[in-house]
Amino acid sequence: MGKRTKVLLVRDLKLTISVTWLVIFCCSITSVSSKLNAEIIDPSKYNSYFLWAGVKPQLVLESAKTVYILAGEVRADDNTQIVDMRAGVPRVNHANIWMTLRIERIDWNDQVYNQMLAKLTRWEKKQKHFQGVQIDFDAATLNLKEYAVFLKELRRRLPKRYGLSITGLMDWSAGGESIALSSLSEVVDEIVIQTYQGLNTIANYNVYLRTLKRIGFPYRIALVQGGNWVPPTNLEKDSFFKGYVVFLVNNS
Amino acid sequence: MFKSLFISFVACFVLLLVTSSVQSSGDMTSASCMMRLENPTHGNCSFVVIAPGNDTKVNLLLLNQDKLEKPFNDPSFPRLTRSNKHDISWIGVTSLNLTEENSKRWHVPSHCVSLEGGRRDFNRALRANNTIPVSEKDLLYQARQMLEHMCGYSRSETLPAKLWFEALDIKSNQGSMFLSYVKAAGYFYGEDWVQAIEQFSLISNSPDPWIREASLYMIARAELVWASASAINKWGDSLGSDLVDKGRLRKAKKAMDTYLYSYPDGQYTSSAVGLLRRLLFLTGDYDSLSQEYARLTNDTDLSSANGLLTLEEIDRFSSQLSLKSGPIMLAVNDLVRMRVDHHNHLSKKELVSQKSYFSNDSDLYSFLLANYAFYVEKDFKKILKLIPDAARKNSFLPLDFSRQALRGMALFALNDINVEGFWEDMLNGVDVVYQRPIVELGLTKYYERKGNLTEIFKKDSLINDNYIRKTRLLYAADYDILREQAQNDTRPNTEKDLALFILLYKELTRGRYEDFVMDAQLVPENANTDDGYMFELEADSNIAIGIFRDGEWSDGYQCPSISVTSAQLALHNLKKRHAPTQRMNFLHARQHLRLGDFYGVNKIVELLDRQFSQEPFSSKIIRRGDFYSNIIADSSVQAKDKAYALYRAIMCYSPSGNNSCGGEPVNQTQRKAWFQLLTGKYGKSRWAKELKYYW
Repeated sequence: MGKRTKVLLVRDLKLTISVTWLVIFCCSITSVSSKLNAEIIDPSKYNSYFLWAGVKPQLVLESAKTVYILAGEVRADDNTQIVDMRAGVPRVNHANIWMTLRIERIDWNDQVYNQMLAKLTRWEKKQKHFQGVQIDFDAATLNLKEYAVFLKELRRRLPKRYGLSITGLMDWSAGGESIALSSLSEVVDEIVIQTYQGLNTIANYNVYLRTLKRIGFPYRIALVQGGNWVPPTNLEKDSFFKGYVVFLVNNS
Repeated sequence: MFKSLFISFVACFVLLLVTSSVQSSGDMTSASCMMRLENPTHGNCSFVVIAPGNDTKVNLLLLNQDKLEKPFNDPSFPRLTRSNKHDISWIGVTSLNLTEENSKRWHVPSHCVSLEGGRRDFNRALRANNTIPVSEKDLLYQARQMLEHMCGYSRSETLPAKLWFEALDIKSNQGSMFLSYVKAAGYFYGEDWVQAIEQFSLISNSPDPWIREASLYMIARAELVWASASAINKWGDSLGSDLVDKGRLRKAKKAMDTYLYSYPDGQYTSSAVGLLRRLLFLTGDYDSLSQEYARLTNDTDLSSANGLLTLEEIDRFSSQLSLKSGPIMLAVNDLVRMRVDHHNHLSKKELVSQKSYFSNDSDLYSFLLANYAFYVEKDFKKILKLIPDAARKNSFLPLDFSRQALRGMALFALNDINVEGFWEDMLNGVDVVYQRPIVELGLTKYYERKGNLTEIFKKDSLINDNYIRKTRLLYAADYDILREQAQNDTRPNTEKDLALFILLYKELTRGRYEDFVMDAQLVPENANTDDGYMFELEADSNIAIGIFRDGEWSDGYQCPSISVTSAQLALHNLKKRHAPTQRMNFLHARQHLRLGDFYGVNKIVELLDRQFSQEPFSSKIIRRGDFYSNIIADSSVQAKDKAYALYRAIMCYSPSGNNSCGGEPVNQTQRKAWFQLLTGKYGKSRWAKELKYYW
């Protein structure tokens, strides 16, 4: 995949912002905005957001319904710890809060599970509407079956009161992997799909969304602030579609 | 000891790390990190020669140790690398020198770094106190142990309940003080600063000396964490020093001054001094912070585990420091700004204007000018003026060595006739582990430019470094050198085996079967046949030299060992030389099929894709695919052999449709024709029955 290549190219920069997100952002910024019906994503028209490390909180967050906050990372060179990405634990009363972990590998050492659970406890204490953990798996290659095994293990260790959300990519529906996708849906409460090539993937999109619908997988669609978006028709009528999540970026 | 509290400083401001890690890091060890002298840009490779391309932390450490006049072989010099390529990665440095406890610095909340060390100190103090009955002590040890469940060190994070504490049967006066300490610490780790400060204050006049000191110190810490937490917004972001509660900061400063005044040389003094830096940061006093960093980099030995962590902290803030951060930080920043791709490239004017900051460090300053001349201006002659010849020394401190190495590189770039003598002079004073390989590389490059590879491998050669020699065996040596080195008993086995491996591999794949038969005699009995060798040739691992003697040699076809096959092929070559027009007979075809199997099971084809050493004369590589297409085209070959050749030729394209056997690829129409031929004309053969598809 073209995107994967890009991921590899910029990986060494070790940017705190997820590389996937960076690529998504660049792609959606550079894709042709003159296409008909394209909408420039204005966060104030939505109610759910990603808040990544290094991104300054914007006013829209004050009236947010749901916020996914990047808490830490498990990096490619170390499967023994979660590297903290925030100065402190958020204390949010008005919105649903998910604690997001960006991970580059899934062969977690036991310690990492324990760190995650301890972190969840700390987060839970300080939020009024705490939802659970979201896993943003940002890897150069992905084997959905192995990922499903990992998520099953994670779910097994997760106290029932926590939700489990994941981010997902469009190409997961390719290559006859809908079975694997279906096994993900058994352990995961929702998937937030990243629309990484702006306008150009709408065609595949519908196939993908149909797959999700068929297997009954609640999903959200992630958009990037300032990017382009053409909403697929009839999306709002899809009962498995749970709304959009806007990835906030700093104004440059 | 409450180890490394300055870490908390960093961890709390982790977001600031974003900008600087891009600039400084050489954190990822890279497989492509070739040993080299020139290091112009950040490519994740650092060496002991201070250079723009080095990780800034490595440069900082080298300059710090140099300032303290510590040679590399000083016992307290941190261990830098285990890599046979001599590259230094910071992750490597920390893993070699930090403890497990140090490495927790990233994943626990900042105030929790002291949880384990604090318990050790508590237990020690409790043991030393003679007034507390043993039965109470046991209860107190357990009470302190309970705190370990906090801070994310384990699953649960239950604050020790008040009732539980009060239920403990502690009656002695000092025992209750220790119990109060545990209670206060519980509030502290549970982030209840108000209660923590109150509880610690109650025992700060305790008769127990440790309780007295530790509680004063903990009050200062709690005040400081509280102050920094005031600048963290509800999203968990630090709002920066402007928005820190100034009143709280003043209280923190006062508490810290109180501790430091009472304990100028106490158990936690160095930690408290570290916390002062955090205070300066929170106050926004970058000038004072820079001065403190100047003191640390120039006058303090940063080689201990805690020192290395301080060094990481300094490195993260380096780009925000003022000129008051001292010559070492200035030099490290200047070097990084000489990288070709740096966004804020250093101008000559700026470098010249900095002269006064280096008035006591003229060698460092001229080294910077020389680096500028080498990497930016490409004016190599200027370097010779800036760095006079000082190659004849008994030992080289890190900066001395870097200066002379740069001079050597300039001499080489200028094609100067003295370059060989220069490097040879340096050899007498270098540290064997870290510096010698660099000098040997300088010499090797000189020999290579002269086209004189034998200098490297001759008896009494000055080139001893295993990695340099092995890479030359792989990529440069001819058959004679390889054969000689395969038998050079003065060298380590890995090097001998590598030479023999490359020699045999090349002889076999170039059709030099007579030589192969002779040289294969050098393979010892029971030599390693592990076929995981493909990526291990450069590393210091066992070379699978045994495949040329006892390796698997059959992948379906009935084959004798490679020794027999190669001997038959050698014989054929010999006959052919006497009767060149003789056609390939069925026996010869069979030998090629056997060789094809050998290639297949021993991954020889994958090796063919790697660029190995030069050929003394052009000799064609005989690829596996060629064996099969030749046999398919030959009418004299027997039916069962032809069937096998067809089967193998088709399998070369399984499953991707790409030719995995080497040789000229054929299109799918041809593969289909092969398949039809195999399943038709040779349909009764075992091979036709085994093959259901073509690709």
